[in-house]
Amino acid sequence: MALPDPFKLYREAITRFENGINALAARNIDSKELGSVIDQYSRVTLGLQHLSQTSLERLHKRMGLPSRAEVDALAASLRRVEDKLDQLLPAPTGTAIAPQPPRTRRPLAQARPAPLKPAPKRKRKAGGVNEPAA
Amino acid sequence: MSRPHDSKIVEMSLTDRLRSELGMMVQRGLKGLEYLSTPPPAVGLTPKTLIHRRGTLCLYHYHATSEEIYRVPLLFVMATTSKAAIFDLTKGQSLIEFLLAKGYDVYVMDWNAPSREEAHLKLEHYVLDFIPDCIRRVQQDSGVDDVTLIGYCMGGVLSALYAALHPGGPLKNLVCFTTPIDWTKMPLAKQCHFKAERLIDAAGLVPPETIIRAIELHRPAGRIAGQARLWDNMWNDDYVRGYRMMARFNDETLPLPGEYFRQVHQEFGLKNSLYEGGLRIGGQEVDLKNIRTSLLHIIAQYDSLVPPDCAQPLVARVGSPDKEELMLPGGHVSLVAGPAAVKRMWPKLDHWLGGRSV
Repeated sequence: MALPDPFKLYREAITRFENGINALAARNIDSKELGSVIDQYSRVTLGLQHLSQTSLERLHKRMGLPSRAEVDALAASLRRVEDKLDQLLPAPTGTAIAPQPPRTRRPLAQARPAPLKPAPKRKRKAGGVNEPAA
Repeated sequence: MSRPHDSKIVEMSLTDRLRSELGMMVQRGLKGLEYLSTPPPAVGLTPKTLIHRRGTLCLYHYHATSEEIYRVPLLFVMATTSKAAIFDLTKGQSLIEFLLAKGYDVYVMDWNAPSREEAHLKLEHYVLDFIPDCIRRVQQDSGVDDVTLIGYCMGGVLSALYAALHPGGPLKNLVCFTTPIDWTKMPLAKQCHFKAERLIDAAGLVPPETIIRAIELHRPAGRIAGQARLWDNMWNDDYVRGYRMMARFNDETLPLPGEYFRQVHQEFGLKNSLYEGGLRIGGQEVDLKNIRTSLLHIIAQYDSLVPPDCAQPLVARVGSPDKEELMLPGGHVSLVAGPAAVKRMWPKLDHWLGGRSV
């Protein structure tokens, strides 16, 4: 009898853990309880954020430093000046250096393309690189 | 170095197996140090020119790489929470590089983090100002009146809203990637019974950390499992490179203007008005039936953020005589980027666009 492969077991355990937790979250995501937990959590974190912001602003004022809001306002003014400059300056010379090719390209098969066929169904692989969301 | 295939593992003796794992363990240690001491790989390096910049909005034109190009330019609209680098990850994994090589003229609407001065931005600004402004500039720059609009996720929603409110043109084609229409089928939107104000900070913006946490809520184990797999595959350079590029994309999540978020939460999340009807943008009622341009909607079969039944009503509802829905295996991001997208989605997109871009 072949010995169980501990490394394979470890990888399978990760996939099982991930699928189990995600499935649990998917089942409970529309529950009112979770909604109220998020609501309370966000209330606390926003409260703490507000507290730290006001304390920092007081500290900045005492030290004679500009606050975050003032720096933001300054950055926004600079950006407006930059945007205005972009509008006033002549168009970038990049296009002049490399002239656009002629717009004469046609697809290889000139005939009206046939409707697309979906790719053959494939069994979904468990795991893989963790996908961020757009 | 490569991991022995499962069938080979069965044939290997325990000693060989341990030797192989030990080799990988050493590699993990060495590569792990390299991982910690090097910056993530650079993304978005395909040569481009900034055509226009206005606050949160940037319009880029990518430099053509083929000797002749299609007549109709493409204008990408990125989702408002992300940078457009996902379309241009790296050489061989860049959708933009692929389209340039196939002879398309590519423009991209990308977003900068909105400032507190832009906290008042609403859907109206994106749909009735930013998109038309960029279309005008693309027409001016290319000298062509027709434009193909390509929107991803919320970028697809904005593009569809624009198309519905401008049935007279100048859109020639509309392509949407995994675009949510029926928000009751969207796991994130099921969480909409919180107050939108709770997520908006003192600057009037929704911070990126809040957006990342909200998105992770529907797959809470994803990050931990992803990190465990990263460690397991640390010896594999390709895996680490892919992981770091995706992680970088995730870390570059942008804040959202508070007013825009309030409106999305209210109109789409609570009222589902894009699907149910009654959505008004700038006083005009949005009706998807008014979209009559050629439409391609590409949906990801395993998308947990915008599941197929959330996205499918788009093709069903538009009035276009030439419309097509294509469902491909993959998730929300792997549909457009990564090795699977290179093989699956990109050639199909080129095939659909080619005949419609002359």
